[in-house]
Amino acid sequence: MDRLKFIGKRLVYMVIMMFGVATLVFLLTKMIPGDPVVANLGQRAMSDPEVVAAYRAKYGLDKPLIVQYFMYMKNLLHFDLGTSIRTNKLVRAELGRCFPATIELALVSIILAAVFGILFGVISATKRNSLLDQGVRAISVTGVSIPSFWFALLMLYFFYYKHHIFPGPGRLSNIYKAPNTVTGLYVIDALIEGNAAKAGDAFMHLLLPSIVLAAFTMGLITRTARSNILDVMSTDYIRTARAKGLSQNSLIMKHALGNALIPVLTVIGMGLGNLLGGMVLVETIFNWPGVGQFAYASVKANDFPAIIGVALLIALNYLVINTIVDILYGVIDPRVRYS
Amino acid sequence: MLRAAKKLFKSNYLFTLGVIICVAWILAAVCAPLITQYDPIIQDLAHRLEAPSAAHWFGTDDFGRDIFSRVIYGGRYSLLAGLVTVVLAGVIGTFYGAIAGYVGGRIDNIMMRFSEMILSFPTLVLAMIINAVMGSNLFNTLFALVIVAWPKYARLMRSVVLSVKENDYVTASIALGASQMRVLMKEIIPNSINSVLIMATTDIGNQILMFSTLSFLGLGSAPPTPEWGMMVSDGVNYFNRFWISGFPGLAIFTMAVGANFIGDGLRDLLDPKLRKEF
Amino acid sequence: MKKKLLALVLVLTLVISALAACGGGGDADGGGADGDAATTLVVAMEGAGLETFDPGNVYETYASPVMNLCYDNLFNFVGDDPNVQPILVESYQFSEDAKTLTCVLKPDLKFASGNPLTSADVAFSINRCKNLKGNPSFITDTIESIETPDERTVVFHLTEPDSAFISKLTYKSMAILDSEAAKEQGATDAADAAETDTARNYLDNTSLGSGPFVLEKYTPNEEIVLVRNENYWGEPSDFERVVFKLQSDANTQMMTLTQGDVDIALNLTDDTVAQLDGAENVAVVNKPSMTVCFVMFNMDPEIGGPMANKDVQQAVRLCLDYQGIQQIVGEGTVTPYSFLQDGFMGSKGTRDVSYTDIEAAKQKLADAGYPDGFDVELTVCDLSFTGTALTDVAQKVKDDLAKIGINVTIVQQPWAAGFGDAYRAGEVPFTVMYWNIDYFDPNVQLEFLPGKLVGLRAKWTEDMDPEIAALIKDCMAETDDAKRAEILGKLQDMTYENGPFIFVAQGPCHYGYNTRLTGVTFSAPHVIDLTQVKLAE
Repeated sequence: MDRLKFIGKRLVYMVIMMFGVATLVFLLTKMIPGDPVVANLGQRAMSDPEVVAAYRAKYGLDKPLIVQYFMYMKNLLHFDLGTSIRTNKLVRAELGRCFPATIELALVSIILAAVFGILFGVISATKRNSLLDQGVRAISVTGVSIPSFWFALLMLYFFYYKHHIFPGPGRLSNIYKAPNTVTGLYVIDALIEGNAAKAGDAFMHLLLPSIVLAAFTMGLITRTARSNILDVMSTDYIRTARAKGLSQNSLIMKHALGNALIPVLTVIGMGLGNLLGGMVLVETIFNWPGVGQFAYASVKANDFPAIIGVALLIALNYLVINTIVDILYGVIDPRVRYS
Repeated sequence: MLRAAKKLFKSNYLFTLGVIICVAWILAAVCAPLITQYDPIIQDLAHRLEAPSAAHWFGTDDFGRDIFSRVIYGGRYSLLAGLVTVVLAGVIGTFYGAIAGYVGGRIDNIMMRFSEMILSFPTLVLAMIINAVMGSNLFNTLFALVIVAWPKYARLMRSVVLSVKENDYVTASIALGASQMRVLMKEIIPNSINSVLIMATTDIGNQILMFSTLSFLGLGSAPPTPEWGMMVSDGVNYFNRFWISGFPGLAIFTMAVGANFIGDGLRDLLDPKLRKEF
Repeated sequence: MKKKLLALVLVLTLVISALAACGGGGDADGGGADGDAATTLVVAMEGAGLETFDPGNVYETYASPVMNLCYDNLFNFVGDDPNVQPILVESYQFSEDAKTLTCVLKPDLKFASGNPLTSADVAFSINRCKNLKGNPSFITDTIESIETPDERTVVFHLTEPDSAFISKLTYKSMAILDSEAAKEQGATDAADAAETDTARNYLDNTSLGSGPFVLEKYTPNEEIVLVRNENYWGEPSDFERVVFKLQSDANTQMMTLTQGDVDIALNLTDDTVAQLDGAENVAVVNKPSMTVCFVMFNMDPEIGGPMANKDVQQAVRLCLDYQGIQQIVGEGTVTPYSFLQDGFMGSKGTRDVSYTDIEAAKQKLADAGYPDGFDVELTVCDLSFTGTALTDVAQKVKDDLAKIGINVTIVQQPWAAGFGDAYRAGEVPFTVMYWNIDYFDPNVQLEFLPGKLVGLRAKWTEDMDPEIAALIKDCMAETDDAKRAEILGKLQDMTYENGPFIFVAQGPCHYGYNTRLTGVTFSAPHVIDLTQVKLAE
């Protein structure tokens, strides 16, 4: 019951936040000192008053700002995100097209980050201050310090350009046609089509960008796992257990890790949220047709319905993930109060 | 504290390494004109796209400018960005969070919802929009970074203030008749500041990265300013001439690594829970 | 727990390597690849801005090769031939006053749907483009009305003589739509089409034309798939499918070209072309494009400040290092003589790079009253042309102007966040910009003259150069090409050392293609004319 009430409260709160985000972005994009018409019409059409007027009328840009705002909000209440003024397609449809590409990438990279992050964290904490610990910490610091755009170029240079170990940018090699959309995740769609080679190719294309994306989150997870395991190890509870003569390894495995994993879970959740939000560069460099690339193009074109759409999508993700993490907290650790 | 620092240097090689790297970058940035005889801006098309050599240690870019000298000069911008952003965002966030946490109630709720709205936003997209609103130059880029960075300080500060407020020790001193002001000054602020400092030290590296990212996207100073991020993007068209983006990227990386090593070490030093182990 | 973790890592590694093995297999022998490689033409090109393939709205440069395959025009440019050819038209004639064009269509033309192509379709398509009031509507500006006396005759009544009219009819927005099928999708050519036409979303993903191919599927930022039109009225193509892979990365284009995964790569760079040297089965096309980069001053002293001074402008013209700019823009770049690009009918070719004369430039600057130079801001936006960022050219201009004491500060301003507005309004004091031709006719470039579209963006009005303004009118009305070329020649001489524009570079095109093909050439109007690409014998 407690949990249900919590989720209900969270939902209401999310709706409010969504409207807040939409308002904020609306205001911000309207503060950009450029006319969306200029950004989206050609070199001649932008100087043709008739064309400009038709364009404004089509997207409601001729109305006063406050009217535009309420029109947008009214539509939002009906889950209508409006029409992109750059591509003339429904923003919802555009997001539906790009989001699976981003999800596919984010999932692979969060799995990589979580597995290696926790592994490194455990190693590092068990062998505290040893050379191994310092080595692992160096790796994790590398992960959080390497500029993603540079890392991406570096990976492409070595693994694609110099030695053809991985394929280059894009979701599929040029010999393949995009699979028919079922889930939008190419690996799965290709498998559904029964084309294992295509699925393999799609998976190979995923690896380089997800390694690049995973680096930062992995560093964070390693860091958090290490310090939390150390934290838990220094609690009285573990001290007592140690006094009882339990070995260091079994202590970590049996007691410390379970407790230490809770904050790690938060980092993983936040990491996933950040991944979804921080894909602009990696998607651009790897020519990945996801939300990040869409967001970049939309900002460049001053396409406010599209920018708001992206912002809402990312914010919603962030909030949902946070809520799930909070609920999981309660599942893992019953002492947590929902407040 | 001093003894702890000494111990830190001795036991934590990475911290020492971080200090060495950062000091080296600061020195390089300050004494740039002494280190290199090439001007970072003047072009020399006769020597464009040359590979690293004795004359040009890091090679030359598409305008024939010496990359080594551009990298050395470029350190100024990244250092500045890292420090300024963290200080400003830290101060703003700390005040904001402390007020919210201390006042509590509805105001706290509204203030925190607002900061969470910014947190839930895709950072890069927000920074791009702010940059578009304000125009691209160094100052505005820093402004955008601060806007994106402060909420996490606010959130941290608030949660620390809340937990310190409920600390047994604090409630006890209030019960014993200590004034609220005294509690705030003596107990809450010092304890809270510690956490903010920990976050700030580890955040410098992040901000250096974030700054170079914006600069890579063309949202920084105007060219020909030798900003590292912009230099990396210059090399994208010359993929097989690795030195054009390779060295500036390496520079960003080493500076961020240095800052993070120091941040990690300081956190070990400042974090009371971990300090016990020393 | 540790064991579980290890197990997880192991499983992950296994899955990865299994999938990788599949992927590798696909690479090696093409197993699982889609379509028959021999009869599929794969073209790699940049496609970030591609939003529509609706003839009434289409505008982007890289939509041209697609439109050219799916639709026919009354007239067109074929291959790299700079002379216009009748395509759907059997015969045509201008009236005495050059204000009426009568075209007779070929017999037995039909659309991919099987519907016959008649004069009604022509009138519908062109009226629709006019009334949609979209990006390409300007192309119909001189059309007063279209008359269709019978199924095969189309009569265009023009508002004024238009020497570029036949060239305009080759433009991709003048493609002929299957009006019957289009109307079913909500298309209309009524005067209020801008509000009532609902066919765009359909036409973005499907074609309703009479060209040798039909648009089958468009996945934005990924690929465009065309299949052969089995109802094509002309000679069928050698290929069953044409696939455009939308990837802007020159290295990927270059590498997939050498590996044989793509047949044609359209966005190679200097750097990547150099690496194709000695590659087997690969040939390269290097040509200057019609995209031109220019330095622009504002003629209004209130806005332009010192840059509005003609002597200062001439000083800048003399001091720029044209050869250096060519290096920056890339191999194959040329500097046009004046406003008309090298390669257009009537063009006076290129400006000699030895034009640069620093001493004369200093003298000019002194004449203007600035012997010690001055400080000035150069505003530049975030766009690129033929792979070169405008900021790169701006940096070169800054460096060059420093030689005569003009101290330039570059100010960056995104196109969508202010620059575009100021440029449109003619409020940018001093900038570096570029211009992409839309239809392929020298009259396009008249826009750079006083009182015309781009001229006004530099606040260059007709009364500043009435002689030029008079010649523009003559040029637009002159339907005889030889005489028109003569007028264009005069105009180029008059702007060689005069006016607010310095045309510094015609960006290059670097295409690479597999030698199993023939007929791969640079086409100014279509980027590339794929209808002429065939399998080598």
